[in-house]
Amino acid sequence: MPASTPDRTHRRALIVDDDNFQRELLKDLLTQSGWIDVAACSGGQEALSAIGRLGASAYDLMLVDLQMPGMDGFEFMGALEAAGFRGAVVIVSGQRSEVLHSASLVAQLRRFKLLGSLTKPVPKSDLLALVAGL
Amino acid sequence: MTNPGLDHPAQRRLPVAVPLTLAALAVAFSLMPWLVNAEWVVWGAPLALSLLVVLALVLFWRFAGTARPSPESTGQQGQVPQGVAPLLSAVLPVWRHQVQLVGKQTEAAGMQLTGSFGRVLEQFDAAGIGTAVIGKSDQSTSSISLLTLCERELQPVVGSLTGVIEGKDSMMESIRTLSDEIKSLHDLAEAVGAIAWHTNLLAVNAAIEAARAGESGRGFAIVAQEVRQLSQRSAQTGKKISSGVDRVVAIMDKTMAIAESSHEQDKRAVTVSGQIVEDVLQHVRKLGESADAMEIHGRAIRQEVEQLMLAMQFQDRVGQIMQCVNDDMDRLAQAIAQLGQEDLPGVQAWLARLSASYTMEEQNLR
Repeated sequence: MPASTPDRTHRRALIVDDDNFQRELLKDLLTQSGWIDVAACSGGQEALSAIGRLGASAYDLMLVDLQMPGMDGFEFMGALEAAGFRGAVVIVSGQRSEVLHSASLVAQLRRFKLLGSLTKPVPKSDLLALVAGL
Repeated sequence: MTNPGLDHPAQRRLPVAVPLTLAALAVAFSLMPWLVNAEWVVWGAPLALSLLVVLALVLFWRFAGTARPSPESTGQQGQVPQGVAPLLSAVLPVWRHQVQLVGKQTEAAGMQLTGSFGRVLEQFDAAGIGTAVIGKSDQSTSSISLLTLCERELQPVVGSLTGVIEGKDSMMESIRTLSDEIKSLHDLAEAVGAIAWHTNLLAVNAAIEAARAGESGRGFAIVAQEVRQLSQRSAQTGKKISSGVDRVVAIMDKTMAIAESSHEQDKRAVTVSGQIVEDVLQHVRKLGESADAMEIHGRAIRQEVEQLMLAMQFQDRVGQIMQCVNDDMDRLAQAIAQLGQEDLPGVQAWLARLSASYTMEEQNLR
């Protein structure tokens, strides 16, 4: 690990995206920036099951897609708040800007620490800039 | 006017030289006895007769073939029935005009139809019909619609407001506890009041006893003892009051902290809720604009469709023109077929009858 990279060893991140390629890409980006414990789920229900096993406070960062089959990102954030999660959230979506704006407002109302929203394809530098403060 | 391609078949199969040759041979055989010797009469005369019979048959067959009437030979030898040529030369330009008119009508209607369909498609595109979800999305089916967005945004607002009300419960509980503590302080204050009353009574007694000083000094000692006890009780009560006040202060601090925290959360929730409501209103306005645009484009589409239906009526016009020409051609064919029995009508009469069947002004040949 480079000296300039912050120690993310004890931080846990969860990626929730139905697109396998995006999950792998985001996972690689976080891993490259020093996040050791990065999990990925293909949908909201699967993510809630993972949170149910470890507890909501076990996760420090959530990368959430908006358009997903079954439970969409908005519904997932509602369930995430109900599960007691109060950590950091980055919204990652291919939706148009007005949808991202609305999702950002909802994330703030859910009392998450909203780091920001990113449009797919996610530029590495943008993602790292958002999670740099953690 | 001759046409070699239309010669009679008999003429092609049997040249004129054949009967001439047969006739020459018959004459030669019949003259042979006088020219050569008498023995020729024995076989030369029957041979000449046979040749004459053959000649007669050939001539009959050829003649009959030539005389046989044939539709192909009638008028195909350059013989156009009288009156047909001027009539045709007058009628054909009229027919051509009608056919050209049909072509123009069809072409114009086709262009109008194409243009109208194009405009209808443009209106459909402008109204967002058949392109994407309302809101100019470039991701069509995978896009979250504005209505879904409104629903997803308003749900947490309602939840947040519920949370604001629930957040007040813990503060109310603290305030209730504070009220109980204040009541206990009130009891303590009453106790202190009672002590004061007793102290006052003792003071009066002490004054009385002081009047008797010297006579019974022990009375002062008892009063002093009572006053001391009272002061001890006062001190204890004071401590209790102090402790109670401390508790009240602690509860007040806690209540204030809860109130401040709740206030900050509520303030943020209200701010974000306001932003969300504004965001939802924008979506609703956009939906309203889309609905208005759809209504406007719908009206334009209706007008275009009405124009299209008008344009489609070209079929009737073309059908009427073609019917005129068709009927006139039938009349001419019939008139030519009956040439032997009836004379052809005059050109002007024919054209007048044709123009009488017109249904449109443009059909007139100017």
